[in-house]
Amino acid sequence: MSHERGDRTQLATHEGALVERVAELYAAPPLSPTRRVRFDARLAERLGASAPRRRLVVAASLAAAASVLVAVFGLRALSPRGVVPPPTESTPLGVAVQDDDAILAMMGPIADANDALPEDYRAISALVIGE
Amino acid sequence: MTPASHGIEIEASLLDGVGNAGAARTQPPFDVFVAEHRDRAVSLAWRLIGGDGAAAEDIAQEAFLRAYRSLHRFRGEAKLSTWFYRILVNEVKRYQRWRWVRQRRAGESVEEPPDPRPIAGDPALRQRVAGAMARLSHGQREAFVLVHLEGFSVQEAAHLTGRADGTIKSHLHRALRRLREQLADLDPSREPAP
Repeated sequence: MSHERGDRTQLATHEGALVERVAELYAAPPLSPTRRVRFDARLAERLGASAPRRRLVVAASLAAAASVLVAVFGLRALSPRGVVPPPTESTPLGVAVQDDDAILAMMGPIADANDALPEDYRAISALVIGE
Repeated sequence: MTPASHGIEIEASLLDGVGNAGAARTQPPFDVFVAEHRDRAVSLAWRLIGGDGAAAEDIAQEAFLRAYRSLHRFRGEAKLSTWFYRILVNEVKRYQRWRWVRQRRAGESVEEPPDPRPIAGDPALRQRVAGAMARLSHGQREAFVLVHLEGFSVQEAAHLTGRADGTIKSHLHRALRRLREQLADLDPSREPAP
């Protein structure tokens, strides 16, 4: 983007001359070396102040994101769905007592108490007790 | 501004058009870019807002600061300098809106151009030209300054202002016609009045 790439060349000669005059008369006074130095110093100061502030914003955003993650996972861990009840009375396979009851209920009523015992147990029982 | 003053460096990939070709591969600092575009940025802002030196410097400062803070958003689709001048033009617009609101609140007339004065020495002539420029519409002045005074192409001016190429051309045509009407005596090809 150079100064020479403008479209002034497309103007008619008299228009070009007028534009040249306007460009010459409507121009900012050149920056003096003192103003240039002051400009640079002020900008450097503002740029320098800008960098730590940006780092602070990034750090604060990361901290906020981390807090949100901790809160979300903490709430999930404490929710009732996630709580596993202590195995009070469970079979060696880990099946709870109430599960045994449900299976027995499905098997139907037991007519005799002896029916609940396996056959070898019943044989021993007959020998000992004499039934 | 020395490199050690703020230690800012921008990636070489962002530095298309900044510094010389060899330096562009060695991550020149942001202050190289500032040093290269400072004067032109102030000059452009001065011409766009109509000749307020302090305000022009403030606008250029703000544009550099905004560009630095937004460097991570620069995608390299345009040259870094084009991207920066677009920010500058936007800053000028922001300033003009703010000035307009301030003048309205204060009950001042908005952008009242100075009365044209007869040619009598350089300062008066400058003031007369400034008055003619101030009488252009925002769009006309913007297009005229960018293309005819600052040397941007029509396409670049369209990109900088967010307008269509055709709109820029139309503004240029009207601006030139109005300036010729008001400053016809500055035309060197014109016969001097008897």
